[in-house]
Formats: sequence, C-alpha cells, structure tokens
Amino acid sequence: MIKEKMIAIAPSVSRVDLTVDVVSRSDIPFDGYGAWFDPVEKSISINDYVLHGYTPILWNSVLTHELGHALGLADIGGVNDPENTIYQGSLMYRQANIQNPVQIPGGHDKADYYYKWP
Amino acid sequence: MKKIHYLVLSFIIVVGLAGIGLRTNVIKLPIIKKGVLGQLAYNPNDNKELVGIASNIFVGKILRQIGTGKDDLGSLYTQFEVETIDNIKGNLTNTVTVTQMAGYKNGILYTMEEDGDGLVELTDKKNDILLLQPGSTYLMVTRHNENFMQYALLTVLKSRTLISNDKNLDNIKLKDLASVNEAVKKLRIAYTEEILFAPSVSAGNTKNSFISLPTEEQEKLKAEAEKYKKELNIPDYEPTPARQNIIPEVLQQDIDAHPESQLPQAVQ
Repeated sequence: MIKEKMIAIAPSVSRVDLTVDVVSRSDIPFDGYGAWFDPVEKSISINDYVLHGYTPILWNSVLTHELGHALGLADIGGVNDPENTIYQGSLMYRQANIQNPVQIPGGHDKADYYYKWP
Repeated sequence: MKKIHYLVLSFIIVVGLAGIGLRTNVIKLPIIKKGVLGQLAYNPNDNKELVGIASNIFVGKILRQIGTGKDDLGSLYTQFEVETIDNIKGNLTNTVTVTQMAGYKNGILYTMEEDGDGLVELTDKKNDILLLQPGSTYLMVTRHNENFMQYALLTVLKSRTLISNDKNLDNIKLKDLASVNEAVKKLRIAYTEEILFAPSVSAGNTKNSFISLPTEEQEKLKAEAEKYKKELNIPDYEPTPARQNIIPEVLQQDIDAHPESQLPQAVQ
C-alpha cells in the first residue's frame, strides 16, 4: 500500500463512509477496484502497478468509475458480449478504455443512476 | 409438555448446527456475490492480450485446497495445490500453488469475476468452474508473484477451462485430453502472437514471453500454431475496434501537458 486518504461523504462526517487508497497489485491486472465486502465501510483502490506514470486524465477516469461503484452502479458491457463496444462511452464500462478515457457520466450511466436513486 | 420441550430442543440443535455449518462453510448455499468489483486493464476477449498478460499458462490437476484468506482489497481468495500436466506458456514441473480470487464466507461464494453482466451470467456456471474443484483438471491462465499469491488465476472466466473432472485418469490420459482441447489450441496459437502487457514491460516483468524463447523453439511453436489455425479455421489477427481508436484531443492535450507521463498501452 502506498498511500491512503479518507473521504467522509455527507451527511455523516463522524465516521468514514469510503476509504480511497492506492495499491500496487501485479497479480490482479485491474486499473481500479471497489470493495463492498463489508456493508458498512466501503473502499476504492487504484492500482499503481497499471496506472504508474499515466496522465491525470487517466487516473481521473478510473477513480470516477470506482466512485460510480460507490454510488451503487454496476459495471456494464459483458466481456463475452460481441457488441460490448457500444458501451465504451459509458463511465461504468467494464473494461478501461485508456485510449478514450471517460470522465463524466454518459446517458446509460445517468439512466442507471436515476433507476437506482429515483 | 415433554413433547414440546423435545421439539424446542430439536429446533435449537438444528438451527445451531446450521449456523455452525454456514460459519465453517461446510454448508454451501447456492448464492454468489461479488466481493470486489474492478475495472479490467486488458481485453480478455482477445486471446493475444489474455496470453500476453499471463506469465504461466498450463494444464494442471487440483490435488487439494490448502488455504483461504482475505487480501488487502477485501477480496476472499482460495489456494490450491496443483500438479502440472502440460505447459502452454512457461515450463512448470511437479506441483505449484494456484490462488483463485474467490472463496466462501458464511456459505456464500464471493468472487471477483469480471465477465458478463453481473451475477446472472455467473449463476449459470457450474460450481466446478466458479471455484476450482479438487480432483478436476483445468487449463489455467495465471500471473506469477513469488512473494504474494504464487500463481494467481486471472479474474475472468476464461482463465480456466475444465479438461476433465475424472479424478481417476492418469497424467498421460489427461495430457492427451488437453492436447485435443480447443481452448488449449487457441491459446497455443495466441502465444505465438501475444500482446505483452505494457505495465509488465515497464516493470521488466514479462516472464516466459514468446520473444524470450530461443529462435528454434519459436519456429517450432509457430509451425504448430499454423497447423491449429487451419484446423480451427481461425483467420489472421484483426485488431479489435477499441484498438483502432485514435487518441482523442483531450487526452493528447493531457499527454502534451505531462511529458513525463507514458502513453496508454495500446497506442505505444
């Protein structure tokens, strides 16, 4: 683990709702991870092994994707779906598109968000 | 009155045993959950990327489960002792430890799989694919880390293919079965044209890469791959649409503003 920061999301500031840290995991080649194993405390981890040296936009893109998970959004675009590329403009696309990093929610993301939080 | 006492006592015993069974994972519920979600840094649909990101691909028989744990991401993992039968990438012999990022807690299977749209697809899979089963033999796609997870299965369903669940077959028969398996042949083809994982290249961690092999061995594997390509009617490689993207202006500006940064993997 390289560094760790705590973020308390409103309305509670008395306890940690979400932990954000940077890890270096060569064994699991992901850009970022969102852990919801513990229903009370959630965490986001960014993988420095993969993103080391990449530009801020790429880091932002991964962090925003993981924040989407923290808001309850799932990944979209099945790995085995031959038409999965239609989701590439979505923040919650399952596979990082580092050639075209998405930093803001797309139509599909917003629809999912409003479905989850009407 | 006595009858009621017996009933209550029986109920308490049954509930208690069920609780112990779930707590110790002796009872396995048909429930699968995702403990950790992740954003993949590669395209597992492309076998050349899948092989390029792996350090060792081999056929192995699961001898026994040797441990479970929880890593720093909060993900459960299970480790197995595996007897190697045949190698597709790398040259493993005897037994190795394979780690799968999945495990049971209170009877529920937690996984890190990133295939398909959530758990609906996962629940359709047989248990022997979701979690490796002792006695079964699989084709396994792994990354090696000596100090941590040893041979870690990639967290996609394509990282393992069941070769046989017959625990009584000997290694010669299992090797024969693997040699005619389509998934094995496809990965042998992909190995000769693998796309190495850029972070591994940067870190000098491209263990067992095809280009590191002696020329004679490369030629032998290429000839074998050509034979399989014809047999399986596999066309020559075409980059997936994502790989044909042009760098968007916003990213180009970001790269220009941070010349110390490296270019994304696919456009290097």
